[in-house]
Amino acid sequence: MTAETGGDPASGGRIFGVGDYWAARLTEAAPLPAADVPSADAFPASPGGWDRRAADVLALVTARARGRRLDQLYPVTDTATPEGPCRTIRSSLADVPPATGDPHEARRELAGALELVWGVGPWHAAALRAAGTRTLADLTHHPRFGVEASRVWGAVAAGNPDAAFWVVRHRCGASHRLLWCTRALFDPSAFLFVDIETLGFSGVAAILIGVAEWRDHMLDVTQYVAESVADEPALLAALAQHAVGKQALVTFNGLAFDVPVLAARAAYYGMREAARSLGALPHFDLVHFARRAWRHRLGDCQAVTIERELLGIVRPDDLPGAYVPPFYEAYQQDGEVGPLTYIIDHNRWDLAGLARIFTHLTPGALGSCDVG
Amino acid sequence: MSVESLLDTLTQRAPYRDFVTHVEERPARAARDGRLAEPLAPPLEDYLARRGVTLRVHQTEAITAIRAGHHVLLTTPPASGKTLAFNLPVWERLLADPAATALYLYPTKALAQDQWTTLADLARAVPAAVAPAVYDGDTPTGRRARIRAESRLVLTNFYMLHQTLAWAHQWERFWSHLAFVVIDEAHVYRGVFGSNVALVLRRLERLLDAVHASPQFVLASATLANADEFSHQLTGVHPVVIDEAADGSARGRQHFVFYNPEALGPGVTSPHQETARLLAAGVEHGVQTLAFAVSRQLAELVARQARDTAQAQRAPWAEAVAPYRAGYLPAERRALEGALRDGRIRGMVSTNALELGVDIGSLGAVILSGFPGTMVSARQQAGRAGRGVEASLVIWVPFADPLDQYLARRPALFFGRPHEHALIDRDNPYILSGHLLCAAAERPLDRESAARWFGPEADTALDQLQARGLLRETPRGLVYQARPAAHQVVALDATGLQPTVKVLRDDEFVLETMDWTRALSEAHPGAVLLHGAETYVVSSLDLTHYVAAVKKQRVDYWTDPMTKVDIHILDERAAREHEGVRLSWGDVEVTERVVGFKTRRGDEVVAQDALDLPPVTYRTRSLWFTLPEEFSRPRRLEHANLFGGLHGAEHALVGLMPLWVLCDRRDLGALSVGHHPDTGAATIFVHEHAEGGIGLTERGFERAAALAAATHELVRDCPCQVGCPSCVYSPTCSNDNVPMDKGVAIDVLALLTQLSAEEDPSAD
Repeated sequence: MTAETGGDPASGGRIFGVGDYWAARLTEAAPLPAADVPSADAFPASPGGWDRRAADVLALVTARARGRRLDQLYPVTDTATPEGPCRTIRSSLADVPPATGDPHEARRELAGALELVWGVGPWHAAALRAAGTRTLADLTHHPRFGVEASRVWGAVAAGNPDAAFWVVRHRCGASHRLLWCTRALFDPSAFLFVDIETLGFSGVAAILIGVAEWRDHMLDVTQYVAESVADEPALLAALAQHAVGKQALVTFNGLAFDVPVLAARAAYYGMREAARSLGALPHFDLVHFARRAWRHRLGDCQAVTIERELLGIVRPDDLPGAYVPPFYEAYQQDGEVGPLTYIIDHNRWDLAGLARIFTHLTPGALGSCDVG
Repeated sequence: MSVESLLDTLTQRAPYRDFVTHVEERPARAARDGRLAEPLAPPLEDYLARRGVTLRVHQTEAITAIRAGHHVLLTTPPASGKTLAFNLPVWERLLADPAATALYLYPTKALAQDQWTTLADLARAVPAAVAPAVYDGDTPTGRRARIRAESRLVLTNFYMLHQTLAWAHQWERFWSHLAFVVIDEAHVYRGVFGSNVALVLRRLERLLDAVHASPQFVLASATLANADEFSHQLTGVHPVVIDEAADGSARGRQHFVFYNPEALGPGVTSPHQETARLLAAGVEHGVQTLAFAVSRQLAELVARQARDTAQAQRAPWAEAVAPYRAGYLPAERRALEGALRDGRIRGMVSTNALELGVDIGSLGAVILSGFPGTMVSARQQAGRAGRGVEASLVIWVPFADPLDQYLARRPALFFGRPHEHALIDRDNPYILSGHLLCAAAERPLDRESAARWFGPEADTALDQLQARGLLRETPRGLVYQARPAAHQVVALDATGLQPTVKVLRDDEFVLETMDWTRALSEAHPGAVLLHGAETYVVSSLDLTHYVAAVKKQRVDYWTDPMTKVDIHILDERAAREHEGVRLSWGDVEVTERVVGFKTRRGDEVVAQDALDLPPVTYRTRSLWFTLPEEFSRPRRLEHANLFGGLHGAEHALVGLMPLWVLCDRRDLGALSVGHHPDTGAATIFVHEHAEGGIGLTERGFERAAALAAATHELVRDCPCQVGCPSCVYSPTCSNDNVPMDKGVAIDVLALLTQLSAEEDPSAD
């Protein structure tokens, strides 16, 4: 038997301020990043940019766009999706033309990669070459490797980039030179560059999905923006729509982050198709290639470092990715779009950088390396 | 050299015989075999035949019930073969349905690992791809995807399950074919941890519902008075209960000895000294002996005393005695368990860390040093003696404290008392709201399903979480929109919200870890810390980096923290009053501050030092007695007498409360004041330590009649003159039991007894 409960009915029986309790604990666990703005050139309008902490930057960017609406700052349209309309910002970049390598050369290189056949290691390959077996086509007649070689050769020769990608991916892993060669087999317009912004690493919402693709020598950027987390299903649906007809994904760390997060978010909403769609596409995650190519030269292989050190690009007014969650929260709290514009711009820089790194990276940079 | 000769020594030889106040004998019992209507699947029958195992009647009952699709709770005694009883029907299903999966949940990683060995063995014996696998914090990342993709039997713990639910989509195969949820040692899941576990299970059930899976629950537990109510609170289902009455396992004769150090009067000897002496006697008689101590410190202390005794006598077995407790590193613990199993260790002193089913083989004798706080624990610990049909001995050494002495004088109550009620409170606002955040982060949460899975209190909590912007209403339901991930911040024990303090030895080795509150009272600068039967002195406690630095140093003193407690009443939620005495129950804010510590050598305080440490403040539930002004006036009581009376009554009340509510004494705090600003009168508080409360004081409020009557009887009948640790003194009292007035305490308690007489007599 429970004793009669008195107390203030408005306090709802036993609940003592649990909203404040958890808000305080969540804030403790995720404070505003204390990191300084990393570039002296950033926020030139503010004196002593180096010393600014997140809260100051936030105040500054909020003030810059105070009272403005998003559609006064960007060309905003609505994309219709089964999950409702999705706010969409489109733009085009002329200075990142497509460059995906020569498909003939790629096919030649793949044809000579005897190691793509299971069981053929460096030792066998050398012995086979010495005995005159130059290509996979030659190897199809081999008594021991013939059957497997026929399968591999079929995939590489058929002109089906998807099949070639998966043969190499399964045999060589995500960072191999031969895998990078397969990119040249795809039509430039078949790639979808993807970069997302979220409120954290796991279990939290995606608030912006940015995609880019080549069309007529231009890089077309499309950004699906959530005005609140309630828009997230529409974002996911818009991406699924956008990916139809695309043959390959390009990301920076998307194997570990973007794609699993998108799958988790789609699964969260019970959007089963969307949860599976991206995982099935060939996926070039540049972080793996970049590490193999430039690890020794750059130390850290973050996208911004590569852009700055190898491409000579310095992003004006960009903010570190760690600022995205608190900036979005600030936007949610008072509706001021200033912080959101910085997230949008940051994402656009990331997408442009992704395409630039893609065109900069050559198979030669990846060296020759063993299979397996 | 045997259990019988050890018993003879205890009952016939000095000095032991003077302390033996009661011997209870439980006769040996023959096995009762059971029969199944249908034999088991042939590979399982073969497995049993190869091992020469015959199923007993409680096992066949369990198998029959599980085969029939019922949820089942097994509460037969320790070592009765509960594990086999549920493994067989679970595996039978896994064999029959090649997609079916089973989830096994254990309270600790060590237990899961231990049970995996058994299950892996079973897997080798049957022709089915089951691939039993442990999936916990220690599972290498590289193996996880494969376990998720292939294993059909996953062993884990609730901490891991809590985290894993955030990634439910990766487990779609496993969840959607889930046929069984096995919860071993279920009685452990009570109080704060149990309330959290119950809510993790509701989250799991909600996600399973979405993939149309509705598994059978199979629980194994120690005996509880409220087995059905408890199982239902924990899992939401009503199981078929297979209890002691159905037990068909064979059992050897067991002697249960009460060995009361207080028998010759207070202060003649100490229970720790006697425990060490009994442990030595056991080892000398060639009986492998395990002593259970009530705290980490005492486990270390008793082991050291036994070892010192042996060394003084140049006995060869000094090195064969070791302490065991939580806080040791896993490898250290595995090594100790192994040494106990293979007999290299002859005597061990353990905390309740060995109470659960870690395989340590059979022991000749078990010593319970102090009442472990609950009959459930006492039974579990005693059950460690005499696995199989050999005779065994259990020795209980009661402490000089109210609960122990109350029971020591009432063997009939000790052996006949119905077991305690295990309490789970799913409505604790902090616990509930944390799990609502997690649930909303796992799958959008609509109000209707929130009420279905999380109870009627969920709605109000959701309002508050939504108002604070942590959740957002969307067409699909409430969505988690805060950061970081809810699962990162919501912890399953009350201490999880606190920082963890590392104890660093010589600035280098992590000796152990402890939570913040514990560190403030046990690892403050100057504190003596025991680890591995060695003493360490704390040189500093870093409040910003959460590091306590210690140096190994052999010292002959120990330290006791002094804590100052303040209570502020927030809301009186229920009350009863009689002739100006008022019993209340409600919400309070407690502030505790460690203000200093005492250094003791033996029983003597040799130094007292002040400390400047931050306070810990929390909101919780309390019951409190307010005395009328008329109580002190006609008696012309001095302030010191009044306070001494309140103080004594407070100690005795808290001491006996665990008899009615299944909790550790540590779960409760108390305070008595001659004049409390919120009541304007003399007041005794008994409050909970868990933030938000978990129903302990609510139950105490309901049972106040029985509590006050028993406490009054205890103090009145205690033979001491001015009070002693068996009645009104508390060993942990910050004020060293000053002031104290036993006579006034009896009057106070008599008054409380009157008050409570109005209560419904059927309440207990």
